[in-house]
Formats: sequence, structure tokens, C-alpha cells
Amino acid sequence: MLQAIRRFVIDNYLFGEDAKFGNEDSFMETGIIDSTGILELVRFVESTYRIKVTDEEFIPDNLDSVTKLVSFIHAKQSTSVQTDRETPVQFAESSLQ
Amino acid sequence: MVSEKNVAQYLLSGKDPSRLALNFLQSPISYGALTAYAGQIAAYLLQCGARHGDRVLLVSENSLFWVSCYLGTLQAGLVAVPIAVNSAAGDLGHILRTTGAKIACVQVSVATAHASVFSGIHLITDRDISPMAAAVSQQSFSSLRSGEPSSPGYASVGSDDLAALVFTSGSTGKPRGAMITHSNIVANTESIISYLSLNAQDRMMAVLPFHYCYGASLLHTHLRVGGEVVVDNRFMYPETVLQRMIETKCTGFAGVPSHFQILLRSSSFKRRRFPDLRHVQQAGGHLAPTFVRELIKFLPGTKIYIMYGQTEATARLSYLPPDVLEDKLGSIGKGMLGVTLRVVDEQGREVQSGEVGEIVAEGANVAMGYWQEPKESAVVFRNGLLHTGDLARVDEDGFIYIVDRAKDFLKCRGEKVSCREIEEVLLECGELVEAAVVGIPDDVLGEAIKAFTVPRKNNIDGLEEHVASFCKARLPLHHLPKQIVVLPSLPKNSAGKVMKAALRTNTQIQPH
Repeated sequence: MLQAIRRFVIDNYLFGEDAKFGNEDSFMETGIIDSTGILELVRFVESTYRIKVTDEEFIPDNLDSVTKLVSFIHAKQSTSVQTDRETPVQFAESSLQ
Repeated sequence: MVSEKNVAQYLLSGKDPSRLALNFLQSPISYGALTAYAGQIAAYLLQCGARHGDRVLLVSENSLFWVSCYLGTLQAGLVAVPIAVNSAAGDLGHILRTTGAKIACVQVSVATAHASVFSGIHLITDRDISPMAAAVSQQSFSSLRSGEPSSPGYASVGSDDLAALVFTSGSTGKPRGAMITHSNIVANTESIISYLSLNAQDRMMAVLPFHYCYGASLLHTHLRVGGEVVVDNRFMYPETVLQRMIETKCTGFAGVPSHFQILLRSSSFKRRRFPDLRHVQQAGGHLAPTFVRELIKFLPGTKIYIMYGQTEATARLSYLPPDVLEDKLGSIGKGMLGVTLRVVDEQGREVQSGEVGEIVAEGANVAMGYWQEPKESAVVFRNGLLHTGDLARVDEDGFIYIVDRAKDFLKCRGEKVSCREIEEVLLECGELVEAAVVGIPDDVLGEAIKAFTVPRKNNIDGLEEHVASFCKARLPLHHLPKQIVVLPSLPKNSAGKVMKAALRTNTQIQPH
């Protein structure tokens, strides 16, 4: 899980360059993710790990580094039974001619 | 040369030194402390050999460092050049060269990431770092703060003396530095204070970057009236900002469309109550009426100001009075105090009610032109008027409605189609956080409509079809998007504005 999230962050926000990026690094303080980018990361996590992040859980303590995110996902998975699972998101381009 | 107020003096002098000026997460800062820090920066800049009118680059996120360096630069009679913290090395180098800045105030993360750019520069960083070989000299704000108090007094300035070179947020083309004088800032600040009725009890939540003219205007107006600016750089976690707004009893919030769209679609904003919130300001682009209606509904008792401005006008040009917001939904209002806004045709004549023309502005807040861009300046700043490039119509009561940016039309079947009109319809479907429309080459139509959309929910099965059928019921056939692209987010610049150029060229977008 840690590697998958790390990979997602590196591929999407660091253009594949991971040399200086630590798993403890704050997304906010390093400035690598902005306010729409974090929505994107949460959507990825929700669809991949079958969890739902509520508005109230949308805080730095839960989401602001790779390790915090992994701990948060583990906690969610262990404490809640998902009753409203959503299908994995598939962002795609379609032509509507 | 007519003597004018130095903006630093205009904002800081005569204040109760014990009152709070800035409220950072780390610590609150009083007017007395801020005045002292600005004085220390001003003294150090002059010590570096800076002379009246020299440019000083400023690259930092919103912080005490940023505000102290900005005010210190103005106090010393120098010209601030504020730049986004995420600027590329190439842009930083370009702006350093074109402005001829020999001094740069830079936060450590930027200084270390782009060390070679600051070769031959006097470097001031927010905190101590190890020596950088290329810099002419190095000093840290933290060291200056702990040193002896020092202040050179406020430099005298004339009516044409520059306070800042503010590079436009660059939605199109290369960045251009608007030349903003001390008197521009004073004029714009006075107008804004007047229509918002700001006073010393006001407390603004600032999530907008101060390098952006709209963000700077929050600082100018609230410092001028002796109010307080609560600074929070965590908008990527909106819950933290909302909670802090309530805890610090903010009386004001200001944002660009994406801030309100995120708050209304992806936060607990609608469920919370803000008992101290007196007003909300929206500028920096068009907020679709559907979102404005929601703001009205969920913020009863809070005045909502829809505004319009440009960097070339220091910050703001017009506002829509809250008492006519519902009647004149979609309007940017009328020119504010001290600003004349007119909508003119290609011959410069005012258009009739209902006709479309370009907005031109006149006022003491209009910039002197673009830095070292005489040709561009001659086009945009003609005959003492700012030609905004925004197309609009005026209703029978004189309220102005922007139709689109002059360049934000596409030509479909030879007919001009407003991107904004289609975006508004898309957003009304309720399933989208954001939408942006661009034209794509089409053999038959000339240009066809391509819509980029950002869903509010995780589950997007059938979203394109839903959006397409929604549009079919509301748009004429030739205004229907030929392509609908679902994206996790739209590419934006540092001011939060959607970069349509990137959408057109398919750069900086990351479809999954």
C-alpha cells in the first residue's frame, strides 16, 4: 500500500522524480500537492482501498504524508465495514459525436 | 514631482502597536512588531546598497517573512517584485533579468531548489541556511529579527514612483509586469474599504497568496483600517480553514471561483455556521450563478460581494452591491468609487444596452503600463484608459455583465460561441465541481466544443452520458460539446485560475 501511494504521488505530482521525496514529508509544506490535487489523491485512495473519506476526516493529521495516509487507511479498514462500496473510478476520455 | 504617501507608512503609521495585525498559525503579530520587522528589512536592504526605485524580488508563501519584506521594500523606496513560490527556475531567472533585481527575499525551500538562479544576488532567506557560493551576500530574516532594532524611516515617494511590479497571472501568453505605483495602491485600497465598510473590527481569513494582486488587496485594506489578517496556507484541507475561521471569529472570507466550488462541493461548508462572518468576497474569475445561489442560501446574514478586477488596475475595478445580488445575478456590478467603467465598441463609443463591447477602465488605480513592454503597454493602456480585453454588455440600469474574455470565444459554424455560457450550463447539472470549455479544430464546424469536467463524486459511471443529455436539454445543437473529458482536476495557475492554454494543448492535465 505504501509503495502504491508513493508511486501515485510521484507519478502525478513529481513528474516521476522521487529522489528527494520522503514518506514522512508533508504534502502541504513541501507544496507538491494543491487543493485540487489532494481531492484527486483522495479519490484514488477511496477507489483503490474501498474506503470513504468524510469531510470531517479531510485533515492533515489523516492525509498529509504517505505514512499518515497509510495509517489512516489501515485504521479505516479495521474499524469500519464498508456498506456503500463504490465502483473503482475510471477517468477516461470519451467522444460523444 | 507630487509627494505621495509611502504605502508602508500609509498602512503602518498611527496604529496601536499592541493590536493584532497578522494571525499566523505559529504566532500572532502585533502592529508594533510588524512595524519593527519591516523597519529592519528596510534598513538591511539599504545597507546592501539598494537605491530608490531598485527592484527586490520576493518569493515566499504567505508568511511573516513575506509581509515584512514587502513592507520593508516599500518603506525603503524600493520596488517589490512578488512571485509565486512554485515558479519554475526559468521564470525566476527571466524575471530577475528583466527587472534587474539585485536583491531577492526568498524562502529557504526555493533558494535551495534554485540556487544557481540567485547567482550574483544579495539573498535574504526566511531562516538560516548554509552559505550559497553563488550569492553576493546572504542574510536571514530570523537573524535580523533577533538583532538590534533599526529603521530608516519612510522614503519619500512621488506620484509616479513604483511600489511593485506585479506579474499578471498569465492565463494566456507570457507574464507581464504591471507597474503599480504607491498612489495606485492607496487609491484602490481606499475604494475597497469604502464599499466593504471595513473597520478595525474586521478580521479577514486570507487563503489567497499575497503575491497575487487580490491577495495583496486583503492585506492592504485590513492593515489600513487597523484590522487583522488571519493567514492560513492550508486550503488544500478546507476543514482546517473552516474550523480556524470559526475559532478566530473571522468577519470576512475572500476567494476565487475554485475556492467556493471546493467549499460547496467537497467540504462541510454547507453544514457549518459562521456567526461572525460579515462578508464574503469573490473575484478572480466568473463564479457560475448556481454556486452564487448556494452561497446566498447557505450564508444567510452574510453579505456576498461579487467583484471584478485586474492586476493592471492594482486589484479591483467593480463590485455588485449585495442588496441587488439576486436581481442582477451574473453581473460584476458597476465601477467602484474612483473608477469609471464603460463598455465600448471598436470605435470607442459606448454600446447601447444589450450590445456587446469591451470594458475599459479609468481611475487612479490603473497601472502605468507594463515593465519594459512599450508595445504591449500602448495597446492595453491607450489614451489613459485600461483596455481590459473583457467583453461585456450593460443592462438598462447600467449593470455590467461579462460575456467572456475577448480570447475565450470559439468559432463554431462561423458563429462566436461563449465558453462561459456553456460552462455555466455544465455546472448546473449538479454532478460537477468544475468545468472548462475550449475549442478544438473541426473540419466541418471550424471549431468544435470540448468540455473538461471534474466530478464531485467518486463514482463516475455514465457521467459523460448524463452531462451530454443534460446539455442536450438546455443548449442549442451547435453549442453541444462534441467531446466531454472527465478529469480529476483542472490545471490551474498559482492564483487558482484555470489555465485554458494548458487544456487546449493537452499539457499539465492528468487523465487517469
